[in-house]
Amino acid sequence: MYQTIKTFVDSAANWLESIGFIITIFTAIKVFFLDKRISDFNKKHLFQTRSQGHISDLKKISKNISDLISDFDNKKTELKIEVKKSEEVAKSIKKKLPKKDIKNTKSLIKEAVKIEKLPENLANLNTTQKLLNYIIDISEFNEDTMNDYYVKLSGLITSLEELKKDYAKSLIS
Amino acid sequence: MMPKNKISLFILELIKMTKKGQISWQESFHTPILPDGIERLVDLAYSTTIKEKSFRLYKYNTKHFTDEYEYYWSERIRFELIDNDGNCTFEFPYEYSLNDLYDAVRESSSGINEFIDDFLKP
Repeated sequence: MYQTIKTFVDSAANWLESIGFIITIFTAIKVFFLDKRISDFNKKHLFQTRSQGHISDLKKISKNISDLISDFDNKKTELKIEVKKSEEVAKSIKKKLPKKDIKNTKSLIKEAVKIEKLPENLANLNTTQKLLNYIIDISEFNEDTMNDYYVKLSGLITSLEELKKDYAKSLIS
Repeated sequence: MMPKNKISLFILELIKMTKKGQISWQESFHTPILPDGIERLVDLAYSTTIKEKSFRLYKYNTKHFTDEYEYYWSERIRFELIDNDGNCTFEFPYEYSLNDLYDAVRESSSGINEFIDDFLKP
C-alpha cells in the first residue's frame, strides 16, 4: 500500500515538474514579447511627445535646402551645413523610434555621412587627398547627390508625419 | 504606376525652375472643386503651363474624424495635372516637398522680391 502511494506521488511529482517547466518556458516567451511591446509602446509615446520639434526642424532644413539648391554651384558649403544639421536631427529622432520604423531615418543618416565626406571641388584637394582620390576614386559633391538627398529628406518628413498619426491612433486604442 | 522617385525629382525640378524664374505661376482660372464639408480651399490656387500641360497647386484643409462627431482639420497641399476645363486628370501623390514648392510659388507669384529690390533702390 505504502509502495503504491509512493509510486503514485513520485509519478505525479514528475508530471507536475514537467508541466511546471513547460509553463516556465511559456511564461518566459510571453514576458519576452510583452517586454518588447512595452518597449515599443514607450518609444511610440516618446516619439509622440517629443518629435514635433524635430519634425519642424527637418521642415525648416528642407525649406533651406530647396532655397539653396537652385544655386547649387555657389551654395555647396551652405548645403553641406544643412545636411549636417539634418543628420543631427535624424539621429535624435532615431532614438525615439521603435526598431521596425527606423529604416528611412537610418538611410538618411547614412546618406548624410556620405555627403559630408565628399569634396566640394576635386581641384582644391591637396596632394595627399588627390593621391587618395586617385586610389579610391572619390566622386565630387554634385547636384545629383544633393537632389537625391532632398528627395530622401522629403520622404522622411512625409513618413514621420504619417507615423505620428498612426501612433496617435494606436496609443488611444 | 509611376515610380515615386521620378515624381519627387520632378517636384524638385519645379521648385528650382520656380526659384530661377524659369516658369511662372498665376492665380488659377479654374478654382478646384472640393468635396463640400470635407475639404476647403486655403488661400489661392495657382496654375502654370509647361510643355502644353497645365498644372494646378493649392493648399487645402481636410477633415479627419477621431470619433463619430469629433474631428480636426489638417492642412495639405495638392498638386494636379488639369485639362482645359480645370478638371483634374492626374493627382500627384502627397509628399512634403509639395510644401516647399507651394512656398516657392507663393513667393514668386507675389512679386515681393521685385518689390523689395525696387523699394530699396537708391
